[in-house]
Amino acid sequence: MNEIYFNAYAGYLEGVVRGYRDGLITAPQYLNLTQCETMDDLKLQLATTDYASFLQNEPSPMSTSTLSARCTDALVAEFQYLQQNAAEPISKFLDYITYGYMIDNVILLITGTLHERDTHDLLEKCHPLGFFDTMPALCVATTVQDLYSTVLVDSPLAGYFRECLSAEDLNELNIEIIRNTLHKAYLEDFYAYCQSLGEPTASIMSEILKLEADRRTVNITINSFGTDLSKDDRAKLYPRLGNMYPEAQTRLARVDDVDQVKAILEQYSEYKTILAGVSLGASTGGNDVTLEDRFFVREVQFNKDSFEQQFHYGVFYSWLRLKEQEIRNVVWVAECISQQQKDKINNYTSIY
Amino acid sequence: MSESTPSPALIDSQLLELFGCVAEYQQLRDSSSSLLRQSFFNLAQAKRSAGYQWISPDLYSGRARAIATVSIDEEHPVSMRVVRNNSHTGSDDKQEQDSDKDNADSGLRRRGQRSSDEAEDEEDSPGDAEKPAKKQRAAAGNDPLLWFGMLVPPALKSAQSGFVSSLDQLVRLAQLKHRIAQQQLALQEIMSAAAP
Repeated sequence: MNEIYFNAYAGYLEGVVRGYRDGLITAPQYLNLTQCETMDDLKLQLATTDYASFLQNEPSPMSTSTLSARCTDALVAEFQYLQQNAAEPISKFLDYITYGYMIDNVILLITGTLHERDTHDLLEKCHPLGFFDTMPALCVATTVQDLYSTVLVDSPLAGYFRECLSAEDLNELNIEIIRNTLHKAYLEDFYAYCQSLGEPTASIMSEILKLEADRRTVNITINSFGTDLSKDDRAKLYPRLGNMYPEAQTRLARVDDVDQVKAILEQYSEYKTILAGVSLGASTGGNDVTLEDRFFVREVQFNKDSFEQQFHYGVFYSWLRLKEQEIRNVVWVAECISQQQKDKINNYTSIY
Repeated sequence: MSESTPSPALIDSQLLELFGCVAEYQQLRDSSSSLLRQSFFNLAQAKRSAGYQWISPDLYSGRARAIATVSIDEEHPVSMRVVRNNSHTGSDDKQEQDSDKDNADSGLRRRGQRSSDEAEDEEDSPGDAEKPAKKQRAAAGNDPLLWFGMLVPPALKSAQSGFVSSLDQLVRLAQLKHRIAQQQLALQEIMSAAAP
């Protein structure tokens, strides 16, 4: 039944996003990018991509941060076109995608306020996809209660703050806990929403969101070593979904180093292949593959597979994630060119 | 040979000293170059991992102050050295803590409660054991890495340690450069005196 009515309210947008998907940079184009010697060469090569109009007015020499910002502008423009042409129920799905960016903006603003940064500067640095009306008022909050009662209670993030209200003070530790707790609540809520949409959206988004949850679990674990985050607090930040929930998460919450993380993950078949040949050390040299790279590869595969089916909302989420991966790749190539690290330039995750 | 003519042994020793300094300079330059290169690469990896929005100058603290300075004596540039402002001893730090109390509500009160709780727990332990722990907590609280969040990627921590190590090497390079210039001057004078 879904297939009969889907094209009536989302067919045009699905066509648009499939067109966007066809505009993603291909493997031969990436090869051309990696052969550039300077940022100007790179800019010339990118003139044949979707980023051309956003980069053409940038003066030389262009920095990697400017490149990242312009590429993000291109992504935002395309996504906002989808939002502007969306009606219920697809508009709600697209709104859900923006909640993640809203959380990032909230954290950016309260962190900047804690560090006495200028409010106007902070607002300009916020991600455009995560903008909401009461966001500028965040700069006056000093406790989580203020944050909630004066600003966020009327925002889409209100429901996610339920688990954060116990952290009263806004310091570095609590801000990090708030950030990860919000993302956890958002992921769980998004997952539940996708399940309510029925097949095939439910199964496609389930795989993608479970992988996202697993990646968050591993990153929180590894990044918490040597910090003030207690093991109990660490466990509370893990999303309650994913292949690692609950058994692997319970074990990961107690580990103290990366070797123990690897030992636990190797016991699960879906992650044993990911870990083969991976360097879990703090820094890698040469072309060492990191766990993060393997997660990127798997995420790209799931998102590409999403386009193999029709009449579901997963294509919108998948296109956005593939586009973000593409930006990550382009900026990585740019960094290697500007740092003259050509031997590490091929450490990107090609999409097509 | 007159008494004013420098002996070949003196010239040789001056030359050897100069060559020694030049060799050390080149070695240190290669070392610091590769250390900085690796640190910038680690920074790029950290940005890719955490997101370019989360590791950028946008997150720098507005209250940032240098935790390391280079002390230079203009008359004796060879004696330049790195001075690290230990965060648990500086008066600026006390003022910063007082202003933090005014600005960030009970954040410091919570930290104060923790340290007082821990002090109660350590009542029976020697008083000296408490001071290093307090110093460590205070020092950790002023770590600029915290500007980017508590859970930063390991690559960012590696980048930070690389940049911190490279500062000492760069100051040493500057010292060597001055010393080489002085030795070159001294050698030229000796060679002029030795010339017929």
